[in-house]
Amino acid sequence: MDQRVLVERAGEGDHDAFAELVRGIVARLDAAARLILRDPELARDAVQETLVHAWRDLPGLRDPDRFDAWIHRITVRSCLTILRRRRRRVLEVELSETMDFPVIDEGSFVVERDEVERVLRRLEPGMRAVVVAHYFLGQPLPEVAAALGIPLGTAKSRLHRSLHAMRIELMAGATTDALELGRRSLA
Amino acid sequence: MSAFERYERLPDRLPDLLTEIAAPHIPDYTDEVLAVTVATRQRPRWTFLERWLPMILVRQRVTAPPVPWRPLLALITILALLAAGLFIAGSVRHVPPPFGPARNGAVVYDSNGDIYVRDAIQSQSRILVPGSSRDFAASFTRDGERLTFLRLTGGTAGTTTERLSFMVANADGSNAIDVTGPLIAPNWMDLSPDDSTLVVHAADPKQPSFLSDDQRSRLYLVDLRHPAAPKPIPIALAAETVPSFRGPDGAEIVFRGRQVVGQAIRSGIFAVHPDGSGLRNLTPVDGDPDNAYQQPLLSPDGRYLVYTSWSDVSSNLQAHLVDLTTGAQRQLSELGSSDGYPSFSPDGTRVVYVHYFQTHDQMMLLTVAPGSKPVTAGPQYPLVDGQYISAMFSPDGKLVIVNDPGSKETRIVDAATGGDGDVLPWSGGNLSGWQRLAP
Repeated sequence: MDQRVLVERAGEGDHDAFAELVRGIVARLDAAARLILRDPELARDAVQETLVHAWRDLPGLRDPDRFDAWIHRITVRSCLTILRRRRRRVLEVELSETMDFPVIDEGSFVVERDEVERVLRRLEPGMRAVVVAHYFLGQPLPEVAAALGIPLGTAKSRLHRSLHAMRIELMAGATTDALELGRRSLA
Repeated sequence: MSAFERYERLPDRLPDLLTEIAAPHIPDYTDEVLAVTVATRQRPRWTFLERWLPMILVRQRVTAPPVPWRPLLALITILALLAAGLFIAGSVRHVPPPFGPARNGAVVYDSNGDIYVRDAIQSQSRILVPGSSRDFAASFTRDGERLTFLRLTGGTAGTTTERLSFMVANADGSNAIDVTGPLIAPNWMDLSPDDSTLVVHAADPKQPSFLSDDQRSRLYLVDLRHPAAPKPIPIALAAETVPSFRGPDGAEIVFRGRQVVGQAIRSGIFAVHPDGSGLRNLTPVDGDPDNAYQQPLLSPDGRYLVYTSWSDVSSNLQAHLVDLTTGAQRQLSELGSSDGYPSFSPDGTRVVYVHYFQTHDQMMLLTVAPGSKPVTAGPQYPLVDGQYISAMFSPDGKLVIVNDPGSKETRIVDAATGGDGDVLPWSGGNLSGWQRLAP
């Protein structure tokens, strides 16, 4: 069934329509929450909070075509709310995970993925949220800024700094690879 | 791919990389979450309302002609002045003060895009502003001298293309002038006490259109003596809505604002001078960006503030009253009941508000004094989606007119005692304004 129809029905109190709607989007919301929070349990909390909020406030959504943007905004906000509530625990997770020794894979995409993931973990959550909202959820930057409650300039700055950090990591990885190749050829 | 290419193409590749990292899949907790949502009460649609307010505007300045003074012609001049004074006193039309009780005048409403008037509530209806244009939300200026209304001047009604202009006309509907030009979503507006300036919230066309009208809403001023493009009030907030001039002098504009607090957007009620200086918050800035501190309205003397908030804890709408001189705040309605959208009587001693039941709603009257109990104003009316009951105090504060567009019933209720009141022989339809006249 067309998503617009589902949104309209769910907004009129049809929970079956809402459930169908949720099954079409929950994988993406869960993935976004895991990317931002770096913790599956916290992501679960954020998605639950998002969906309860969405169900409760759906009658107030005036334009059904804006449903995706609307629920993405709620997801990002829920993630940041969870982070504020449980900051200590998240820091512990982040510290322990950044201690992981980087795994070098021969496939360039896999290497690149691992490098990006490593940087993503190190980013401050607010910066990570900008990256995920923009590049994973596809939100335009002004929308990201509105969702996070930050000025557009701050959103741009966070994105720029995040990309810069990732690029540094990629270059550093390439340098490490080159050194390793050099060592092997000398051996 | 070389390291340089990876470096350069990172932004293009990030969506795929992030998808790979996250490996999206339907989580195993989906059914559990849906079990939570199905047990959650959905907010009724009426709690998201942004209602049209009666609007007020533009008083023609009434000034006495200069009196000539000729010392050398004392006696003749004095006699002449006496005669002139009598003439002037007889010709100057008295107007009511901008705030407070006034004498009851005509009521205006719209029907099928035209504006109608009844000179008194028992009088026959006559059309004021006919024509092919779509006109609505009619009211009178604070002094009752002129008529104001909104006109559809562009796009399609009820869509994002809709553009509305604020119109000012003579009280008989003639000489209507567009004083704002096309506005996007101008859902709320108010006039300065001297009727010289209009404050209106409207969506900022420079903001991205994918944001909601509410998210890109700004406050604008329009000088009604010299109409020009609306001038934005420079306020450093995320968005501003529902502005009202604060009585009795109009030195401040009170509005609902959204502000960035830490990394979140929070709502609160603020005050600012019309030039944008002196921004201050009248309530804590701790509300949900969408659901708290809705519809702030002031008492005519500027002392009290009422607003409506949705409570997540109790899942109901709550009406609140704040004494701005002491900061004391209290919930108007009883615990657990759902109430909203209060507005003050002309003397500021009472409020009328909507009490919501699951399937019905009802107007209530409450004295502002602490400890008072609310009384009903009119009967309960069945809730019809898209049709909402409304109530309005008469300018003299003695009556409340209750209008139910669902049943097309309009009643007059005694504002002091409440009760069922009397059904009028006509339906108020979209009744929106009641003319104030000098006592």
